[in-house]
Formats: sequence, structure tokens, C-alpha cells
Amino acid sequence: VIVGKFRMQRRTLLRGMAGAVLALPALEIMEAPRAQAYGGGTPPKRFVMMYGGMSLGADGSPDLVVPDTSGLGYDLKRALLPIGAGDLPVNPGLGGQGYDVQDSVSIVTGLSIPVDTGGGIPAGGKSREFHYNGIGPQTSGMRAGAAPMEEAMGPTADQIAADALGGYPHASLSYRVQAATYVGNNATGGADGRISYRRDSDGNLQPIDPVFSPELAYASLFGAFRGPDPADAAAAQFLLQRRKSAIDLVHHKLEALIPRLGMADRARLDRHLDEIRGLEQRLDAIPPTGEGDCAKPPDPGADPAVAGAAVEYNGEGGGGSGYSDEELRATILFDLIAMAFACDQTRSAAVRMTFTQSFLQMGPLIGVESDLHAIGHNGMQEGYADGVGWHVKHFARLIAKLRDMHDIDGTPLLDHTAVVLMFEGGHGYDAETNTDGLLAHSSENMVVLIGGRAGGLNQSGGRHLVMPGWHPANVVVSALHAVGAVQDETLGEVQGKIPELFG
Amino acid sequence: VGATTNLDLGPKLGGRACACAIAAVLGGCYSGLSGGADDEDDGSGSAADDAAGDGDGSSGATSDGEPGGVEPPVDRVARSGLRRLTVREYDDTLRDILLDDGVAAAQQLPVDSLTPFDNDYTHQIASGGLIDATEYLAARAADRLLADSVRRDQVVGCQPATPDDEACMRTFVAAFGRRALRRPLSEDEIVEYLHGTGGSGGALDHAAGAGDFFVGVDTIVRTMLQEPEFLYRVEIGTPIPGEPGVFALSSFEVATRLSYLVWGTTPDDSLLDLAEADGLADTDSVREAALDMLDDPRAVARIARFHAMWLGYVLLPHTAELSGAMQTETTALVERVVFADQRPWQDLFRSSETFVSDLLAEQYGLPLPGSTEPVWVDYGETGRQGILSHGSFLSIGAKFNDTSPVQRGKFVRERLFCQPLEEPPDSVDVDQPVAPEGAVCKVDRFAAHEVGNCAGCHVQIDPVGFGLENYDQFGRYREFEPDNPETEADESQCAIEGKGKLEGIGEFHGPGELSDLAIEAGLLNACVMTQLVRFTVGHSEIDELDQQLVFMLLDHMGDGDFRFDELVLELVSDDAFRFRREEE
Repeated sequence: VIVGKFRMQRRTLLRGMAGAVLALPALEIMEAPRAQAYGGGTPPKRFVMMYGGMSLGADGSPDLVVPDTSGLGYDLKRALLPIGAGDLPVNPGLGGQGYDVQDSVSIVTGLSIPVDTGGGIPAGGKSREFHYNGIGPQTSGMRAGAAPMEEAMGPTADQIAADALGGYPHASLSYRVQAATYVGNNATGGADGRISYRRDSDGNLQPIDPVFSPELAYASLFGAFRGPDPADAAAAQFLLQRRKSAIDLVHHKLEALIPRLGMADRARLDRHLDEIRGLEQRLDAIPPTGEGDCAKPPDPGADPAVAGAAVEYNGEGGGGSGYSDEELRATILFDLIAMAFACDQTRSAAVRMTFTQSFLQMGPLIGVESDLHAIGHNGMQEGYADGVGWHVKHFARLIAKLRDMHDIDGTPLLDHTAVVLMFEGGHGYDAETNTDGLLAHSSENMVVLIGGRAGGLNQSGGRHLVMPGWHPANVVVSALHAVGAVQDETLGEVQGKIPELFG
Repeated sequence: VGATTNLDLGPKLGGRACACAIAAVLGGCYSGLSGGADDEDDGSGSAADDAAGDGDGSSGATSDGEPGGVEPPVDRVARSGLRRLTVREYDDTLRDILLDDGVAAAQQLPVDSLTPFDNDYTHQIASGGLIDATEYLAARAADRLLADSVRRDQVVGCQPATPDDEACMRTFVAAFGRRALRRPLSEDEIVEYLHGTGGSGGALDHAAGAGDFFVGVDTIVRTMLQEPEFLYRVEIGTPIPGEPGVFALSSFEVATRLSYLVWGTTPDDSLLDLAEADGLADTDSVREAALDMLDDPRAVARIARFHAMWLGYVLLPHTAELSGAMQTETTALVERVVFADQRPWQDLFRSSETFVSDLLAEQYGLPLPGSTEPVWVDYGETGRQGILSHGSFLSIGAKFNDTSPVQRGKFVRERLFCQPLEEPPDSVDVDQPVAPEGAVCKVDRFAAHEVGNCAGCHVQIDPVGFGLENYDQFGRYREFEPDNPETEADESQCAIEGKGKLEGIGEFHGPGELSDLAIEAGLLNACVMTQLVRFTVGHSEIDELDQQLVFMLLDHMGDGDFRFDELVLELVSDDAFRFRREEE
């Protein structure tokens, strides 16, 4: 078979031949994935999960997050101002106007993660240790392990959504905004800062390393984008053929190597091969060409340099370490997610905005020369609220982008999307030290923001729901329900959507 | 072989009576050291004694993987798995095979876990991000190569006469393939690169299609840099009859193992030539090769990095200028002791001089050398001595704008002495300062650790940290605690006594005396050998086989002083280095 100057690669040919049983011409089936993506003109649903490595309030002072009023038209405290239409606090990372998305954003408060009180870790719960065990129960609904580790013990919501929504060519995107831990000589590296876990083909739970390079994220999503210029399109096609040739040979050599290895090494390279197949699919997919609001985003260029470890706050200024232009990184990554949705390159995304116990230097973002963790423990009420507000700003900005971009049927992307934003902690009782008070180390009085209008979500506007006794993962279940990704309203060990979100 | 988390060095510390005493005293706290009486009878010493008798000088494996005449020392042939190149190894490998100084993959590749070393393959998992990153980085490397005609021509090694000059492309594929995959390519492989797996889509097709030979080169570079044998260190070897799961490595596999240990990068052409000539098949030849390799800047950088990861100063929580000055200081000492002066490794802990500019000299209270560039300065009568007086070490575990005696003590026990501790119960908030009611000074605030269940562990930890308290987290000397603006009390009135204790061994005051005590007790020797074994085998969990490697090193290097380069030579010239054990 000759296509242009090149004979077709073996695996592509096999795919085309397999398509013949569907009574479609071979070449047509090769282009099927994108055509199917918009098949029938019904826009697909999308899911986004965001996570911030901080609590709601600083030690010893009331939080500036939880609204005083409940229901529709809830009041916006300092940290929530980005979802409103008014002025934002004037500091480097905020400032300007809010994104005016309150009618599509609800906030659920009074949530808590059950904590081991001596009888073992309860369902969906965690140990008394504060920092590291809180993310897994929220993202997966599964109880955390006993050790102070971040690992989710079940598939995370973004992966459940990815399986259900069938995104193609990227089943899901897993990103991290904070470029490094900035912890200094206590850093442990790779296992920290993940957000996504999935079951592999053998049923084993596997972590997914998040991409934290905007440069790489752009190349992966839009590197093969075909512009309207025929010469550019031809050059892109020629480059794509070389990429395919390379990966075809890599695949071939993997298949030859794997049988020569022992069982443990085979398993490692089997997983590598699985991921190579994923890349093959991405290369085989017809690249986005620009329909509707789908357009090639501007090339973000080289990544900002990664800074060194954070300098511990000493009241005299932080010295500028611990910041790698996370503002720009967040802006680019969320822009890419929005455009990936518009171009139907994926239908599920997870974004780890900050590490657990985040040491991100907040000076450039909110004008407080300290790392996020220290701001909380040094009792800076407004500074900490602005830390929350920075996370909320990017959440609100994404919501606004999805509101303003459209599917090919002309409806806003936001009408088919659910977005959740979770945080590491709430504010109040500290189970680790069994101390009452307004403490940042608390898994009580937690909040989750949920935006979008998929599946009747926020149908009559955003509202504040006070839901004591409910788990943050119940809000995540609600988001999964909104996009049709769960049938039994269950995420891990947490069951039940919040009906009021759909009123 | 069942993996154990911790290393049991009790009986094999042998004449190291102090270390045995520690094992007995700390039995209630340390998860890795059992009671002394049991240790006397656990038999782990006999295997090492036997191992000590294993010979050297006999051959291990021939270049084609056939086992040679030597019996593998099966009691210490370490398990090994596929090891993906670390971020640093990836950068340095591309630098060497493409003559490319512009590689910086840390932004794109997944972050390596530090356990404490970055090469623990048990933590490596392939993900979509890895695959995307390796494809992207391969493309960027190819772009940079083609954009630099001088470097391009050096790497390609021939001048093409036509866009589809097969002879020149073949020359390039064979030579570059050997460097990238760390072994010679077969004829079938070369044909696949040239013409594709199904007879199409090869480098020559792309070159002809574009009318540009170097488009074919681009395709080859992109391909090879994504291949599993480039990204992973693949060891297969030849099965040893009668020893299930044990394999003799080929000479190329030995060359790769040696190169990534000593240089942290790929074997160069001369090492590959040596492997091809079957020149790494026995103890003497491996030792000789390693000796040559140690006389190379790559070895200096690698051994400095080993120390930086072990002692935790790869990253420091200070301004870039101060962190850089501290890292330079410590790296200079490692390079001086190990390479320039070839002094005993223990001199790292004894050195009476340090490498500082005015910035650090002022920080340490030393006479200013009058230089913005670091120079060697005598510590004089300051009480400082060796690496433990460096800011890079004293930065360890800083919390709440002050030192943490617990974090420092824990680091010394676990990282410097290889004495793992049990995790604190989860009812203990290790993130918050200890603050019993009414206590102001640190020694009083930590007094709660001396009673009840806490005491079992903290008696081994806190006194170590308190012995370093006269030095703050920036390495500055102090006699009083800093005031904490978050409290009403005035902590600056709290005088620091600075007296420390290694339970069961002796008391000390400051990093110099701690160093002397640790050397005398033999605590450092066993630990540096353990850490080197971890670094070599690529997994942090030490099992019985790895323990035997440590015991072998202890038997050969002894309790006293040794040179670090000789320790490396001893490890790589052991017969076990040329074998691998398959993971179960």
C-alpha cells in the first residue's frame, strides 16, 4: 500500500485492515477516531479535577473562604472573589476583575474526611497524620494507607472519567503546576506531587506521573496540528511520518526484547509498551485542524527555569527561591486543557496545582514573601486567603474560558463540563494533636468548589451548600455523575451524589 | 531472597565493639538493629567470612556472555532489574553520545525519587508522560544536532555523497548505535534502521524522500533515543548452570554497569572497545579499567554527586547564592580528599581546612580570605572540623526558622550511621514545634521526649541534635537561641550548652567531636559502604545479598582508614560485580 511517498507502517495497515470488517473503506477507518468524536453532533462531556496543597485558613484566625450565606447568590469572601465580577485583591498574582462565573460555580462546605480514632482507618478515611493522607481519599474515595504517603488506594476520579468518556487520542491529561517541591534537603522526589492513579490492563493500580512542563504539554497536544497553509501541512505530515517510523521501530524492538527478560523486567517493559501504544494512537489520530473554536494555541516557548528550594520564612523576605513562574505555568496549562477540550483531544484532565504542604514561594503571586505552608502556620489571615484565592483564580479562569468557548454545535463547552477544586485541609479541629481551635491541620470544615453545567449541574445557578457529615468525595461523585461517568453514584468507598447541586 | 528494609550490621561489625554495643542498647527503638545477644547467634557473619575467602583474579564472563571459569559468589550476587536512566544520567549520556552540552531534561522527564539516591529502579514506573517526554527530547536533541554542522559531522563520522548514501548512513548507524545502545548492532538491526522493519520507513527512505541525507540522520537519532535499550540499562547475561536466577553479565553489560557507577554516563568508545575485545572478563581487568576511569572528571563529578545525594545537599533551603556556596564548599572537600590528595575518606570528617569565599567565611566566623572566589581557609581554633561543620550539612532539617535537634539527630542516625528508626506514632505532629506549657528554652521544650514511650527512640536522637545546637541552620555559630517572634517569651535569653551524646558511646560537643566519635566507633565505615552498595545495586531496600556485599567490603577495607577510590575499586573488582540475580 502506498500512501504518498511512503509505504504504510505495518501497525497502521493492520488497523486499517481491521476496520474493513466494519464495512468502511480502509483509509476511512484510519481517520475514524476524530470523526467519531463528534459523531451525531452531540458534544462529549468533560471532567476536570483540581487539587491545592493547602488548607482554608491560617492558624488562629477565621478563614476567608466559607460564605456566610447559603443557597443561591452566596456572599464572596476574599478567597472566593475570583469567581465573582468585582475587584480582586491588589497583589501580583491576583488584581483586576473577577471572572464572573458565580452562576456556574457552587461551593460545598462543612465537609470532612473521617479520621482513624483508634479502630483503624475508616472507609474513605485517613490516619490522624495530617499532611499526606488527605489527597487519596478525596481523589479516589478510598481510605488512605497507614503510612503518611500520598498514594491513592484506588483509581482516581479523572481516570474513572477517562474510562467512561473515551477521550481520544489522549485518554486523559495529568498535569502539575508547581514545578518542584522546593523542600530542600528533605525532598524525596518523584512519588510526591502526583494526582492520577489508574488500573492497568492487569488490574494493578499504577500512578501516573504528571506533566509539569508546559512546553511538553503543548508539544504533545498540538505538536502535530495542521495549519491551513498547504506547505505547512505538508511539512507537518512529513514530520509525522518520521515520528511514526521511529516509534514503529521502537515498538518492534520492544516486542523483540521483552521475551528475553525475567518476569519482573517483562512487567516493567510491558507497561512501557502499553504507553508506547498510547503514543502510537496519538500519532495515528488525525491531528486537530481547527474547527469551531478549536485553534492552534500560541507556542508557549521554553519552560520557565525551575528554581531552587524555598527559603524558610524569617520575616525578612524569602530571597526569591521556591518559585518557577507558577503563574505562567498555570495559565498555559489551563489554556491547553480548554483548547484540548475544544479540539476534542481529551475529555478528562487532572491538575495538581500545588504539592502537599506546599512550599511554593508566594511572594510573586500574592505579595507575601513566604512559602504557602509557612503563611498558614504564621497566622497570616489575608495572605493565606490570597493563597486559596490564587487556586480559585485559576479555577474561575478555566470556568470562564469554557463558558466562552464553544463546541461544534455552538453550545458553550461549559454546558458539557464539570470541574472540581479540592484542598488538602479544612480549618478547625486538629486530630493529629487532638486540639480544638482554628487550625490549618484539620480535615474538618473542608470545602470543594464545583463548576460547570454538565448533566444539569448548577442548572439554576451556583449555590452554597452546607453539608456537614458529607465527604469531599461526594462532591467529586456529583461531578462524575454530571458527566455520566458513574452509574452507581460511587467513588471508591464513598457513595452518593449531592442532589441539591442539580437543582 | 526476601527483601528486608533495614541492614543488620550487628555481628559483622566484628572488632567494632562500639557498634555492637549500639545494637544492643538501641534494640527498643531502631527497627533495623536487633538485640545484641541475638545478633551474636544469627549466623550472618559466617556467610561473610566465607565470602571473604572468595578469590580474585579469576575470570567471570566472556564477552559473548558465556560464564568463565569462576564460580559466582552466589551469597552476594545482587538482584537487579531494568534501570531507567535518571534525569542526570540522561543528560550526561546525551552529552557524551551527541557531544551536546545543551541537554536539560529535568523539566520534561518524570522526577526521580530520592531514596536517598536518584537511581532506585524500584520507584521507576513508565507513564504516558515519560513516553511523551522521551519522544519530545529525542526530537529536540536531533534538532540541535542538525543545527550544528560541526558537531553533526563529528557525530555522523562521514560525508554523504548523495542524500541516500547507504554506505555513509550505515557507518553512522553502526557507530552511533553502539554508543547509544551500549553494544554493537547486528546486521539485521542495521538493515532495519536503514530500510525500516517491513522494508520501508527506514532512514534512507526518509533521506531520499526529503532529498537530504541528514533527515535520515534525524530519524535515526529520534529512534535510538526512544529505544528501551537506550532508556533502560538492560542486563540479560548468561544463566549459570545449577544456580537458578543467577546470570553472568556480558562484557558490554559489565562495561555499562561500571560506567554508570563510576561516571554516571554511558561507556565511551574505548571502554566499549575493551568490552568488544573481551577485556572486562575477570577481576583484574575490571579493576584496571575502573582505575583508569577514576582518573577522569566524570568520576569526580559522579562521586561528588554520590556524597551530595547521600548527605542531602543536592538541594538546600537557602538563597541560590548561599546554597551554591555551601555546595561548592562541600564538593571541593570531596574532590580534594578523594581525588586531588587521595587521602583517607575519613578525612572528610577530619579536615582542618575548608573552601570558602568571604560570604561563607563571614557566615562561619572565620577570617575573611578577601575573595569573592572560594579559597582554602584554616578553621583555626573555631572548633569546626570537616564536612559536618559545613553549612550544607548543618542545613539539615531546619524548621520554623531554627534548627531541629530531632531532625538533625534523626538524619545522623539514619543517613550518616545507617541506623533506621521507627516512624513516630501518627498521634505525634512532627510538623509543629514541641511546646509544653511554660517551657521557653529548647532543651526544656524537648524534655517531654525524655519520658514515657517517647524516650525509647528520642534518647538516641535528641542528644545527637543538641550536640550540634551551637550551629544554626545556616552554619553560623551561636551561643543563644534565636528569639521566636511568634511567642511572647524571649528565647534569646536561652543559653545553648551544645553538649551532645551518642548513647552507649560517648559525649561530644559540636560537629568536630561528633566526627571523631563516629570514626572511632566505626559507624561511618559501615554506613558509607552500605550507601555505596545501595547506589550500585539501584535499590534502597537492602536485602541479605546486599548485606553480604557490605560485609565483603568491611572485611577488605577494615575498621580503619581507607581511600574512597579504593573502596570503589574493591566493589567493582569483586566477582559479584560481573553477575546479576533475577528478581523474583
